[in-house]
Amino acid sequence: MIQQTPSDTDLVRSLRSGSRDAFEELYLRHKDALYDYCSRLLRDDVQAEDVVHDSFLTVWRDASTLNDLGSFRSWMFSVARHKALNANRDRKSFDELSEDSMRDDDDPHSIFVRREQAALLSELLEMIRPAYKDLVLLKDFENFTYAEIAKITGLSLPSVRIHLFRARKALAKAYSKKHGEKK
Amino acid sequence: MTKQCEECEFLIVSCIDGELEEEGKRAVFLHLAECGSCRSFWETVTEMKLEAAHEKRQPAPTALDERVNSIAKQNTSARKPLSAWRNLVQRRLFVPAPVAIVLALFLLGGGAGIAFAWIPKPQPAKEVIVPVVCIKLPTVEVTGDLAQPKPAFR
Repeated sequence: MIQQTPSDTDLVRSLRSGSRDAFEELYLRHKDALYDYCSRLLRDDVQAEDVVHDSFLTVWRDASTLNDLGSFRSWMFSVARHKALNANRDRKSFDELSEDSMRDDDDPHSIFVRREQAALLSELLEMIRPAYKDLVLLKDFENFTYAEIAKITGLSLPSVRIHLFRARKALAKAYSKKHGEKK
Repeated sequence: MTKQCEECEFLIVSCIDGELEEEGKRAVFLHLAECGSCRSFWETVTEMKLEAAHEKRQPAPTALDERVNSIAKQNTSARKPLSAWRNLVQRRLFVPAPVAIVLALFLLGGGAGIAFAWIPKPQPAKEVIVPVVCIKLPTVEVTGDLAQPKPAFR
């Protein structure tokens, strides 16, 4: 007899009843994605670990506040993102990650030259505005839809669309330059 | 770069992200067929997206496992309890739809029955007896000249 793997929705339902097993299963399923997202966002592994821990603490305590059980993953990333932004604000001026303070003076090429030795895409992401980077992480690394990203970030759907377009433009520009220099 | 190219690049990103409808896709492919610059943009974005998909994830450290596992053990009492109503709604008591419909109809029917029983029934109209008085008039006989009136002028 084939035993069907419980979905996130089933696990969240069990978690609401206080099931530790459900909590552990949810953690095992999402820990790597969440940790990867936070460490890329914060560029600090220790802080990322704290953020993921705090996020799962919130999951354990506040699972009952989640209205749409099917959107658990989006909700969890939203919680983690919020905590990561707060952590970053404490660490340094968090203006970098807020939408209001997007810098227009980033020159992908000059930043690229400084980080020539670094890994490709991760470093390219550091060349664009932090708010754009956040959206690219959610879209390309975590495969969220535009609607889910809008939910997680609190942006409108058209804003998500436009910011992702600008992010891709900036990345493509940096990417082409990098390849050009390699040749 | 033409304005058309700018618009197309915007659509290209949505298309690669799987967020573009058929009509938009057709417009993109028509433009790509004749524009090398936009084709190059398409290739770059696709390539980066593939790299992102294949980039190795940084696994969570084992120290985190222990920390998170202790959450459930230590914070059992700290969980926010569900209110009775939220508990009922959010745990989604699964009632099969037909049963739910029958139950709803039964409740509606019962409610209507109770309401009907409480509404006072209209009383039938009472018969009103109007006394009829019959008076028999005496018969009068007319005799003599009165039977044929005289002409006024001769």
